[in-house]
Amino acid sequence: MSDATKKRKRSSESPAAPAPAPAPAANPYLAHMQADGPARAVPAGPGALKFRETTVKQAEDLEEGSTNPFTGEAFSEQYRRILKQRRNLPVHKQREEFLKLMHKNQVLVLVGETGSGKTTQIPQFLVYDEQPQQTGMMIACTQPRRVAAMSVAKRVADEMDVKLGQQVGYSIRFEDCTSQSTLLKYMTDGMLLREAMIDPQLSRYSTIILDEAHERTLATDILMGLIKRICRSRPDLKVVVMSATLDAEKFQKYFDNAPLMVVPGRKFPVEIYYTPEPERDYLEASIRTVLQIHTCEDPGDILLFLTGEEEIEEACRKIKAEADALAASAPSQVGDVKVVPLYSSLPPAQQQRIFEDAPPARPGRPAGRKIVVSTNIAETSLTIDGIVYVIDPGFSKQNVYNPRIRVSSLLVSPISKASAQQRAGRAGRTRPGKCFRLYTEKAFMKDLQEQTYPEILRSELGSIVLQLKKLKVDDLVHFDFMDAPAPETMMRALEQLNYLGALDDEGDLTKLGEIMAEFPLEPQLSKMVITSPRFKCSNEMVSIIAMLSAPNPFMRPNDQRKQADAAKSQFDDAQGDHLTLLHVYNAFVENEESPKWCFNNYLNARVLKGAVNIRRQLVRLMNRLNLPMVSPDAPDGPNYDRAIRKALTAGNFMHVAHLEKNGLYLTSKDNQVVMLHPSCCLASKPEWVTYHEYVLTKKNYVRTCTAISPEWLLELAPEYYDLDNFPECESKRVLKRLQAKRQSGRK
Amino acid sequence: MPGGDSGAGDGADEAEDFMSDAFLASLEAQAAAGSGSGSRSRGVTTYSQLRKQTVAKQRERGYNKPLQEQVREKLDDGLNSAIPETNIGFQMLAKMGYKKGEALGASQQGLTEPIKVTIKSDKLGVGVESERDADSRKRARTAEELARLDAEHERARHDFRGKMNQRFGDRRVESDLHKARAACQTMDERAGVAMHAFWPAHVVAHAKEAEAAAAAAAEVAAAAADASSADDSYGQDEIPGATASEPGIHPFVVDVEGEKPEDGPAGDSGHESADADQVEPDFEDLEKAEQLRQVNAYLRERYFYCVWCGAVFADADEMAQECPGDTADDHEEL
Repeated sequence: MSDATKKRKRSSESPAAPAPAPAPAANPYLAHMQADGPARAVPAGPGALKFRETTVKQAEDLEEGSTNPFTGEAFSEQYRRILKQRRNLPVHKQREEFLKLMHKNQVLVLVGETGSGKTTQIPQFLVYDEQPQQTGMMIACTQPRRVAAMSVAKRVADEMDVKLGQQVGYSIRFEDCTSQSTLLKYMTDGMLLREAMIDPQLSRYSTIILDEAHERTLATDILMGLIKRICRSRPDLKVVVMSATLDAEKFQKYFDNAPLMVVPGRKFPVEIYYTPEPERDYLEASIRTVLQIHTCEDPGDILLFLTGEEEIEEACRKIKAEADALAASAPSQVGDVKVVPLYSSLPPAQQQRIFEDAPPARPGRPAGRKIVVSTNIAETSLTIDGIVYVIDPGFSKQNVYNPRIRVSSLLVSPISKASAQQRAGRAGRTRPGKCFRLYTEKAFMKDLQEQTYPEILRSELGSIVLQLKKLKVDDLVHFDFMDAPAPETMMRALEQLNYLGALDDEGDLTKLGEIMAEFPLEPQLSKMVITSPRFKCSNEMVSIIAMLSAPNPFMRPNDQRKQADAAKSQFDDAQGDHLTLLHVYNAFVENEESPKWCFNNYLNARVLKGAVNIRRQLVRLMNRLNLPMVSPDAPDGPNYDRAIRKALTAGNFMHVAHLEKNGLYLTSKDNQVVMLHPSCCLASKPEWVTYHEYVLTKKNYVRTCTAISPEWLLELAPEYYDLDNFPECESKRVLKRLQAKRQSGRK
Repeated sequence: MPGGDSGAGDGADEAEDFMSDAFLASLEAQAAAGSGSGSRSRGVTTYSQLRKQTVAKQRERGYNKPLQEQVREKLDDGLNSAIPETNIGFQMLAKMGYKKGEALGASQQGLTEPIKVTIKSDKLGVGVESERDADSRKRARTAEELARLDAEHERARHDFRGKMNQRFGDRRVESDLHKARAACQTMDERAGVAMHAFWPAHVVAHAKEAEAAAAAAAEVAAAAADASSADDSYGQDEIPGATASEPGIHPFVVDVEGEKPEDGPAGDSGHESADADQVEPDFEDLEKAEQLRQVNAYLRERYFYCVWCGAVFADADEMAQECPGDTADDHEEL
């Protein structure tokens, strides 16, 4: 119905658009907000090019021409050099096939293994085919990860010989690097989902590419559901679903038997070895296998998959010690090793070490070897060249939300067959490789599930439900999920949103819910921000939320734990971790965001810079929603932290634990025994705490805790703390007494 | 043992006798007083009932189970209880058309239950558990086999004990035999006997070699005479076959079949001199216990010497009086 081509110019609307742009020049990411005249749409005379009717020949002629058709400037030397490489990518050979399929179909499923060039080339093929500068409609390519969105956008900007943020840009949560002239936009899947809330038909886009769909992130799954619906009302919208694995059938089926195109990857054969017997101790077996490969196999780097930081560090230590001992005892037969750990909480500089070369061979000795010991981030998100041997013990840590006790568990569990294949594939990137599976072939067949559970089955759905409601998806029971979540997970989401006041008892979005959906935050955090002006602490609350939305800012190197803890203690607040985060944020700003100051105080400057940016975006949102930014009247008064803690409680009342007489904390209603995380700054054990997250590992920890008063619970969340409808437990008795006291006091 | 009795008596004085009437009566009184008007305590007399009551009381008072156990229990409870229909979230979903037990999705193909939470706290590799499960299933199916295995174990344990006993006994026999043969040589030499098969094995072997080297036909007669004179001394039933055909040493033939000792280990008969004389059943080929018996008998008969007493007796009478017997076991009691 809506002929999208009629919408000539994109409106400059974006979540933050109407805000008065304060000194926009200072922030390159806000370039799109500058009213600097019309975009530099260049005619470039492609008169012969017709929208979605171009040929490979036409495109290649343009690419090989002397001027860039999108900027009107001459192509650079670098461009020509890169163009040669691009022509060698496997996907280039199928450019014609791709265009034909795109011209004929609305949805295309494209399978291309790593190294096929699909992520960088397919969007460019479309740019030439659609000439977005003339239609005024963009091409979007979603990525599950922020880093990938940024780095691929940078690469493609180079390939197209344009400036990043101009014709090619990216958009990730809290960071928009696009402009009015942007034709091709790499973005996280979550960002496209947010845009759908403002623009339900996604009318700014002529084609949407869902990359890495096989990863089945929560946002990609929801997007597929939405796009399937939009496709019906927008026949002009084209969709490419790209996957790296061969399980494309599921996608084809979901999109009404969409055609499939397969692009071979640049892959070498990988020999797979199984153990004859199951291993009693997979860690010990991993170390043994590494050493065996090192002493017996040809040169080539090793990648070992383990489950977590602790295990990886232990393995690194042992491998290094044993390999050094071997090298010392037989220097003519055993080469040097470089053992490198890789996990997400590792500081970025140390993560870069995986790209270092293997140690050189010393005269008269065998070649050195690099051994990377990694979590499953090396399975998909990071590619390390030079890996020839992969060791796969068959485990990873999986994050699974359980709605019954409302806990996220981060537990070690067996991987899936698909995941095992992916791991094996890592050995064949540069030459034929070998993969050693530390389990039997029988166990592979019988004990491993086919696919890893998609994220939608493993996640808390609060903010997704809020977004779906905002998108006018009222029937969550029959929504066309590719994989539908457990009903109880949906119930918890609805319950949470109901108690927060975002949905009424009928499941309809309330006024408050509308506002809450504007924030790219978990619902309880949105609620805190929105109610904070009432407690006169919105300035503080926005800082705290920004800090909660950023990764952990505290650095704690293994060899300097004491110093790091001492540094952290300067910021500690007796009332809790949320306030500690606030102090860190304020100190960072007071010290003019100095990286040196951060370094001296064991703080991650990049994370804190990120928090400053997030805060800026949140403040803009607050302004747009007419929510005042205020601070308590007496910043030094006794009521300062009280106001903040109360505002926290207003959103977080479902995340509360009570200290029982026996010295244990029980979570409210679910009565789960929890412990304050060791990093918690609370010196004494307050009777009532609110926590940011409850994570089930080997121990039950609540993280980021702050002391609260039980009266606030009764005052701010009377529905949730309705004692007539509360499970029998000690906290109920305590609250009952308190309630009786309050009532008699009122009389 | 008189000390034992008095010790038991002391113990009874220190701690009360739990079965005494006085104690039981006092307990009953306590129980009745403790539970006041409660009728439950009536008839409580056994210790196990009392113990149960105490545990129940501890629980009421807030007795704490180990933390780990409590955490686990609550966790399992929580993970196993579905969200009830009274929950507002349940009701909201029901308003959208959800019915209990169904799955979500356009074709209702989704999960009906949340993904199970399993806490892995060991380093067992993939497949170990399932392998073990399969094993245990296999084992369960053959319970009979298991019983048979158990019996086998029991037998093996017995056999082992027997073997150990035997081995210990063998060692004792060997050392006794060694002593006896040495004594035999000393006494024979004192008595002017030139050579005897009962003398220590190395002496005998050495003598045989020397003899084989010097084929002295002329000495045959003298030697035979010497032998026959020695032969007189022990014409017993057990050692029937002493003939004069072999020179130098006392040759004899033993009916091994009939003489086989009950507990002699079958494999123990091989030794250094076995190949020195393969044709006839040699003294050296006998069981050690039999060897000992023969040597011992010889010494007792001829010299009134007992290996275990380590003494020479004046005559057979004195020996019968003083020496407890002709086996090692007889001497044990002393």
